Amino acid sequence: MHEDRDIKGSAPASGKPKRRIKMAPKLAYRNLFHDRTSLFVTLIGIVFSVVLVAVQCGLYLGSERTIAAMQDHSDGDLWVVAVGTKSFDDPAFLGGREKYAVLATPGVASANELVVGFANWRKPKGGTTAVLMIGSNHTSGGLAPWDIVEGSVQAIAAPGGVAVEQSYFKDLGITDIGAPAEINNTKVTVHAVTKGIRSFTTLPYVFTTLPRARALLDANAEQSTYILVKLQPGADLETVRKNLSSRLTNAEILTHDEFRQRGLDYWLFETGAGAALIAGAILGLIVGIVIVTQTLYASTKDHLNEFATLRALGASAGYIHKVILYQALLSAVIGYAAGITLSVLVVAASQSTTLNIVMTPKLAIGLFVITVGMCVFAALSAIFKVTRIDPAGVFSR
Amino acid sequence: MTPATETITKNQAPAGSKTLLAANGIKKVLGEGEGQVTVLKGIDLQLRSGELTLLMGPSGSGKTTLLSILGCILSPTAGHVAIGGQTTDGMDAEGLADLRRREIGFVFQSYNLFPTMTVLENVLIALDVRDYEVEDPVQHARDALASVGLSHRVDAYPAKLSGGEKQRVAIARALAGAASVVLADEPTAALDSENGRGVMALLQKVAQDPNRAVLAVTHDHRTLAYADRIIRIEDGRIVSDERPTKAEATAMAAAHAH
Repeated sequence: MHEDRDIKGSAPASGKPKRRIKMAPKLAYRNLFHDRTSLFVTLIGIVFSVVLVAVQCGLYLGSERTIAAMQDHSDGDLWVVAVGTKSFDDPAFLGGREKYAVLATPGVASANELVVGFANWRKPKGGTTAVLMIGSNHTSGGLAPWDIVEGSVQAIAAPGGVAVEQSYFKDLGITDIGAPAEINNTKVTVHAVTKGIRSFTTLPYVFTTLPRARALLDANAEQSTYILVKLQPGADLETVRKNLSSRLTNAEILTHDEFRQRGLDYWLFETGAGAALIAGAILGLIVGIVIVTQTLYASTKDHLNEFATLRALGASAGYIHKVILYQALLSAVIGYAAGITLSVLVVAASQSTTLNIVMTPKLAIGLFVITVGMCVFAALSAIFKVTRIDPAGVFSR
Repeated sequence: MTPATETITKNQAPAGSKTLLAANGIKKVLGEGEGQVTVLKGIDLQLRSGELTLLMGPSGSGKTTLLSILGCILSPTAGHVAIGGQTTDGMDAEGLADLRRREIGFVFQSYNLFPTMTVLENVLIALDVRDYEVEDPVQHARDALASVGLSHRVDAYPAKLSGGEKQRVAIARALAGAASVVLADEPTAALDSENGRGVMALLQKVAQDPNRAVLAVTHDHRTLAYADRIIRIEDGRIVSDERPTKAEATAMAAAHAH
């Protein structure tokens, strides 16, 4: 038999230290496992809650990554965008010739034009779908496709070359690299395939070169949607931005973080998509709290006589609260372990779909803290119940 | 019948014994308004070391209420209780719990063992609750169980024990942590004659400790033979308090048996 011992107190005359035994964790464990059905219900509640919160938060994080993917894969300090642009996926052409004004601004090292716009993709076997074209000069540090699994960035430069995302093959009506298609009635060929570049709007991204994008979107040779500005080393960002703002009165100059946040705010909060995800996570928490509260309260009621006995034996209120909290913590740890395992499986299963659920170490730690907090909160009603216990009741039972 | 206001007192406390618990002028009123009942009407009582005292009386006489007050579970409406020289006056629930933890061991009619814990663990819980520090707590608990003859049942769960064994565990639990006052509520009520005798013999042995007093509430007259002192209570008042000789106690038990 193994006991949890606590060494405490000064050494007695024999020289051996005195110890105080700690039985509260064992009592909590036994109370918890005594009624397997209640424990099962508790764990189901916690697992359900953990998985629901994990999926909702994972979707939220995945949405953040998806929405900000283009900014996060661009190497620029400032973005020149059309006035009123809500996000990268809400493109509007600039007036034209902004690149020259940008390059003439002190502190600017480079300016890369991006041409982004909606286009009509005609599938090889008939039918059309909307896509978002992204044209960039891939050799000068613009926005090149990443995570290429077939073909290469260089291959896109071939006549009619485009890069598309593997998970959108079905939407695009293609099955492999080399597939022909038409964009805005011009023939293109898939020369590169990416994996994992999903779009929050579900419109497939199609990468191509800057001149080809202009041609496909019927833009003139000086038009662009965004200009990605890189500063010279040591240049002051705010000073350059002010200069650019004064030169480009019909455009907005945003920092990388500002443009990123603007997109997140728009898609997650102005459209209500993020609020729905947060509401789902809160719902998961509420369901978890309700189930754990109910089962812990029922467990406490079942063991009321034992708690009264503890009180009669002289246990402090704190000791009894500790037993209940240990029960809650044990439930939390076991429920979390099962819940996070299931969540990781869900995340893994989602990788082959267009759903982008993300699990990060921070989220996993956060979920553990939330689970423990939820169970401790749920234990409060049981603690209130025990606090009102009358130890004199032991004589009538 | 003895008049309620007249207390019969016979014999004095044994020489060399000391007062471990003193109750003076204990009154207890339960309920409010018209439903108010005065359960205890002025109890004076001292429990002395080395004695097994039986508190007897009919149902509703106030035995259990008095036991609850002496055990610091209930506070009296009036009067004072002092245990080990420490008065309970003005103590809140936590203060009373602290005094119980340090000085009182309880033996309950329904045993009140923790069903999910083994015999040994039931005793260890008492050590933990009492913050009792000892070189080897497990050995201390085993010793307590050995003293009640349960060395062979340490790993058993309460459900596997007989009533007598359960009550022995309860006594071992009361003894663990060196309680100076052991209060037993109807310790033989749920037991057959043989087990009842065994438990009373054990309580008698426990009471022989010169640093411990044992009070057992009972209306089981079979227990009379084991008493060093018998206090009878009726209608909230002590009506007799006597220390019979061994022969007298045995005779009393025999008389009630017939």
